[in-house]
Amino acid sequence: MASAPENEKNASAPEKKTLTLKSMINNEEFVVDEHVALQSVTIKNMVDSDCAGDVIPVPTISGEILALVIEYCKNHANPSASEDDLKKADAGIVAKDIYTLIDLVLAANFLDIKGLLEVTSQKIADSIKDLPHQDVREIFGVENDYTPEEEAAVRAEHDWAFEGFP
Amino acid sequence: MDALLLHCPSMAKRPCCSSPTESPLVLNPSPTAPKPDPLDRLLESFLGLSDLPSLSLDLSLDRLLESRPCDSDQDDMIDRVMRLGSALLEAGRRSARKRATFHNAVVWALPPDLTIKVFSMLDTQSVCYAAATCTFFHKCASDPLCYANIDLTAVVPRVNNVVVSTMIQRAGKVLQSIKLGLVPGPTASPESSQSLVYTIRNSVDASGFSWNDKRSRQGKESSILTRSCLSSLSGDSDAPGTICIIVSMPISP
Repeated sequence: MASAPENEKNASAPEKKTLTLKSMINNEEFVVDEHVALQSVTIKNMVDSDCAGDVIPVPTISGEILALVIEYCKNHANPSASEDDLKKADAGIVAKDIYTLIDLVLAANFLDIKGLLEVTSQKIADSIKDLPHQDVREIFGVENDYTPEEEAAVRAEHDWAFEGFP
Repeated sequence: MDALLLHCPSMAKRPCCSSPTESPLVLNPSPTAPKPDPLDRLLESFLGLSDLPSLSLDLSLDRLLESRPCDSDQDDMIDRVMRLGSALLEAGRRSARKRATFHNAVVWALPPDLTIKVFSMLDTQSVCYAAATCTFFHKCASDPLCYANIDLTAVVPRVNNVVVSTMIQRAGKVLQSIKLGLVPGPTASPESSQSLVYTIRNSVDASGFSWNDKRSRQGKESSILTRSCLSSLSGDSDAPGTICIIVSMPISP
């Protein structure tokens, strides 16, 4: 998690390159080490194809979400982090409300960061596991848009699952 | 360089519509909207009647009916009142559903592929609950990927052969694993359950899978599953790779 130690400045290591990611939603800028940013396949492809400038604009991802994404990338770019450390750090990052989680899924998908997409999707799935549809509506803030007939048909389709539920 | 500006769904922070009364989703009619249809204007003034106490409506209808001399005219009028009432009711419900669908698309910003990804991480019963939540979820929950890893383990046995084969058919070619059987309830100790893992390399081997022996060991709580629930696997002769089948069952103490 901590930034790379100073003593890495030996002759064999080239000058550490950084990239600046800029949220186009609120113009917040983040300076990150290149190897951290390259965990995003989207950014890696840009850098590899030489179309990344000094500042990489990231559209439709807010600074708040981008900060979380960068935190994740930093954690996972740290070679000395143990499996356990990473799990704990990931759990901290996804301990968010449903709207932040949805934004994180979209950001992870857009930036193509597979691990982050997995943990955020899993967190959303966990939040509705074993819960009947009324609870799912409440948790996700979605509304019932079925006709009564359609809803009855969907429940009949899975009558075994709804046994004992009102 | 703004290569990142391409194709990205809106991720702007959504308004959190916790209260249905404060409705940020109302679509304001654009000021350049075409002239309202005469019917719209009639309906709008008609809707003003909903503010009246119902007694005044009753009285007014009574007066109108009395003004009709003949019986059949009165019947006809009452019939019209009923029809208009239910037509309005239906129209109101339809609009409410449409708005709910629109609301859901704003609140649940994940596109179908990402929604399917989330659902594919759920056990099968939870996918069924999600499907009953709203029409968009139902569409997503019909995707075979949601059933690639069928997990029908439960504390109480309620799954039967039909359910298992339905889910296998839904998964089709993307089927990877099936988990069946009973898991210990919260009161039981973890040792009271045992998992048996079967690996089926292809459909032909599925017939060698001996369910009945194991089933008899489940004692009284024997579920209503038999080997035939896997019969739909046989249809998938071109199913690639390996399907893993895990059966959990409580062991009598």
